[in-house]
Amino acid sequence: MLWLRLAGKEIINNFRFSLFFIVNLTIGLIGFIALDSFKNSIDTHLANNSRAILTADAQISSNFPLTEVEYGIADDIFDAEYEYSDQISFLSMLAGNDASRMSQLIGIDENYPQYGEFILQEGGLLNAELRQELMNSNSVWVARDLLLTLDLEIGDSIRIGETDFVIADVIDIDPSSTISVMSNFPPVYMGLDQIQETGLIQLGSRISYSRFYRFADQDINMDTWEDEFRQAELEVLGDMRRLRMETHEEQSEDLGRILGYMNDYLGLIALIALFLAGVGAAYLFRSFFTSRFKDMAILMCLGGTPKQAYLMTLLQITMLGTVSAIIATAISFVALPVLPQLFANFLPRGFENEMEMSSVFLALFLGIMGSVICCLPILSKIYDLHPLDLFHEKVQPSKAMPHWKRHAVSYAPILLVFWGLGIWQSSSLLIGSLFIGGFLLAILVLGALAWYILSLCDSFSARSGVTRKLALRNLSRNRLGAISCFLAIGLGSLLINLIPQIEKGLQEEISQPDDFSVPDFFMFDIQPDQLEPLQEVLAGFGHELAFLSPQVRARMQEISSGDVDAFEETTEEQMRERRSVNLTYQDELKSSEELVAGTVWNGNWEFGSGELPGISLEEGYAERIGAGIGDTITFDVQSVPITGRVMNLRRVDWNSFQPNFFISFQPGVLDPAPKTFVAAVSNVPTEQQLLIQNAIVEELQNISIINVGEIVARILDITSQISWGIKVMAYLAIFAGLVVLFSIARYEVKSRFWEINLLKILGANFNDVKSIIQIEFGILGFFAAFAGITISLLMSYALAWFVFDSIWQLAWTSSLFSILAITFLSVLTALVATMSVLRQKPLDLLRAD
Amino acid sequence: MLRALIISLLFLSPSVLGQEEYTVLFLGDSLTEGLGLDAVQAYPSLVDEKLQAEGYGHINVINAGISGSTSASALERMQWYVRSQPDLVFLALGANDGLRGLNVANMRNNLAEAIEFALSNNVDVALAGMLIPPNMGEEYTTEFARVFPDLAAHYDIPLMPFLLQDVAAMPELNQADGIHPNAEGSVIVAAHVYDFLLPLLPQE
Repeated sequence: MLWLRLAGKEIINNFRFSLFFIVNLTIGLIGFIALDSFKNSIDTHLANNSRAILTADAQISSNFPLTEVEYGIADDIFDAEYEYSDQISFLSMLAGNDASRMSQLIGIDENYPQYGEFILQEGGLLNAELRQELMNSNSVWVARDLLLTLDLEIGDSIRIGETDFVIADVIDIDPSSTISVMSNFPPVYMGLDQIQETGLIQLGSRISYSRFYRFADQDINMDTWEDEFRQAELEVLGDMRRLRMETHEEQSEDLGRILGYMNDYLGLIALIALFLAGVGAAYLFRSFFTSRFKDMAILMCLGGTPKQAYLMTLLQITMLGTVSAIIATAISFVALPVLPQLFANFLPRGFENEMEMSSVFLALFLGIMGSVICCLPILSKIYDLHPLDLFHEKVQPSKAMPHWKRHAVSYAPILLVFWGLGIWQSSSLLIGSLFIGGFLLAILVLGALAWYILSLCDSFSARSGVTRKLALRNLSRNRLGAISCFLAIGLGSLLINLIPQIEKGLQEEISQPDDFSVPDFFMFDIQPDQLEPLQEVLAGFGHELAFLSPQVRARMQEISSGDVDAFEETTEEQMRERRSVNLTYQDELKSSEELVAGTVWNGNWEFGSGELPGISLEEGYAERIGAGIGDTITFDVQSVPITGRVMNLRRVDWNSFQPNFFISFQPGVLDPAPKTFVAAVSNVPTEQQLLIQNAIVEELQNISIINVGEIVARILDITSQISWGIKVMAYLAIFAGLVVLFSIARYEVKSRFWEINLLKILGANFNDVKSIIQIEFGILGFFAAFAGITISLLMSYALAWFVFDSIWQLAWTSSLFSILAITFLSVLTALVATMSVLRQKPLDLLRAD
Repeated sequence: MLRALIISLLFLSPSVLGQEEYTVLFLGDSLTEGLGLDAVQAYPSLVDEKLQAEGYGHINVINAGISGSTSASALERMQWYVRSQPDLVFLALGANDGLRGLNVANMRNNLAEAIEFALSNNVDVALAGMLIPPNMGEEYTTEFARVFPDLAAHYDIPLMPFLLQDVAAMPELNQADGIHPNAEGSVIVAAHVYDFLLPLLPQE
């Protein structure tokens, strides 16, 4: 109790420090909690989105009626509580007034949909009553599109199979419509019993039977389900694959990759914030500790043991950490749910930011434990403290190395805790370890560099004027202190620059090419002789075909001398991918493509030139099939063997939303082969879309038109939000880093008070002292920042390699900015701190502790 | 360029000395291409294999199946292949028209144009009939099924009534999607196609 009171008194006595410490830590922790909960909220939001698209958590389906055997397989894997909803669906030709259209009939039960909002034009949001009406009568809800095509209205009757149905309502919003966008068959909903009585389900009918699951536990891990399901199916049903399983997680697969990056990126930022906060807290505490050193010596003079002094300081830090954590949690609790409203324009609709209990625990843990462990290494110096020190003019912690055992004991917790946090934040043992390993390596390299640079200072000093000489010699003599300052600034710069560096790569990855325009239609299966009429139809509406690409179907036969089939171990899916491929040919790279290796061909391939025609491969695909530049690949193009040589590898920007191909040929080879075209049409106003679709269907029925406008817009929307988030985080990281650097520089100058004072007493004038400080901190700041940033480039490259699929772009502007800003900041902070020293009278300084 | 392809096409099959070569071209969709199967498991390859085994070494088989192709591509592809002078075209298109609910009259037209073009270039045509699942609706399925016998009668060409005879709608003979024959199903399709084609081929 006495200790607690004493510790409390100490805190109040050192009110300024305590306040500074608490404010600093609180801000850091709030940032951390915000980041953590933001990350969780994004996850939840996206999961809800993908659940709405599937209308469930998971689904099993088959072209044969599902039985207890199939349900049993699913139950074994889920091993969880759930509700389910059954569905039967199939395609059928529906006839209306003078027109017919292939439609998708869907029989639903009273549990549909388990997620997402299904909205009817007349009935509004789907409720139990509306569902009952559908189940208990021969009525259907249909897509508006179908009504227009068939020239029917609500209340009209439509014959489906052997039964007449009444069109009860029109679908306004169908959450699952985004998946069926690929099929382009308007949906018709009816009761499960009714669909079975249409008489259309007979021997030979192609029917899809599905069961949708909604789990009581939403955090259930589904990663391995599909594989397990396939395995179980093999065991139970033998070699007859007829069951499919889908989880909501793959529904947003287009976005999955980008969101994965976002997640890793946020994790990385949290990690970096943690390290920065650690460096900052340690420095903050170091300055406090230095100022309290004399008190402790007195305490020990009065009979205290080092252990007691140690424990008391630990107690103080714990108290300060707890107060900061509590304040941070309280503020976050109030502020976090409000944040989404502030950023309403940027965040997706329905986004909710909620603080999770895990974030609170994390904050408390970090606030208390974090501040303690970060201060341990400095605290251990108490053991070197001697009452004799009191008689020294300048009472400062010893700069000598403490005993290695104590060293190990005081640094080990930091390492272990940060290692653990690293693994936890990145959810990967490899990345977490890599990060901490890289960090340690960086410390070593920075230390060595500092030593070298400071030695250079010494040799340079011989050829300099007095001021410069003094500054340079100061640096090299006070080498240990200078190295620690160098390390702190270097590590700070490293951490600051990591984020913008990775941000640049990610931005590049999710940005659109310059000539980008959102495509509204994708068209497939355009026959060569249909190009002209198709263009005429489009011209009638004021549009034209974009990204027109020929597509030639082929089988891959051989790569180089090796046989494709014998090529390494591959899954059945991969094998299939290789067997049947779509080739294209093009005379130059598209705007969405970038050459990564090799050369682009020049003009058409000439028959009889003695050369093989060129092939261009998408880099990822080349890796998957194990082909490289110079390899020859033989394709069976409609039974004609055609061999080409891989001339280049290209990177494809899949966000370009253009028809992109893995394999592309030099023109002049495939041109006469049987082919179809794929193309896109952009900038089609909504009111025109149906008209154009109908006009094309009427004249050129076989052309598949997919309306992608909506889904592309949705993806773009989310990518732009992510892009915004990434940018804001990068700026925050720079800002937070600079704040930490400020406290580092400030501490370093403060530890020079004595020297500065001495200079003054010895008659140095204001300007001399100023330039000495300027030179010292200029050199330290510049070289440390330069070294730190160089290392950050290497580290970010390594991170990109391991985490972000090698997406990396040199962000030289932000690197340059960081170097200059850090140098400037070190000098400025040093000068500001120096000024306050210079303004005091030397005598005051002598009196001060 | 065109010459290059034709030449390589001719080189495809080493001619058997003393016998006149005879080429059968399978013009079709994924069923012919053998979607989800190895190239050698597609029914044209199996037919070829059987022909070779039975001593029809002078008969070449070309697989011109393209997954997803509809009858709209028939004429264009027929024009391309007729340049290499096959003797017989086994025309097996239409399944995708049916599955996508395309206009039956259009399909009839497309197939007719292709048949006419082949016949006028002295290439024989054999037609493979197709049926589509009953869930598509009675009217549509009936109208669809009638196209093939009508065309065969009109142009007086041989008709194989249903390409997927004994295989369609049998779960154990099809892949998971329920429409593409698996390896086992493909063997049955090949056997039927072989029996159908054999009388049409020149006997040594």
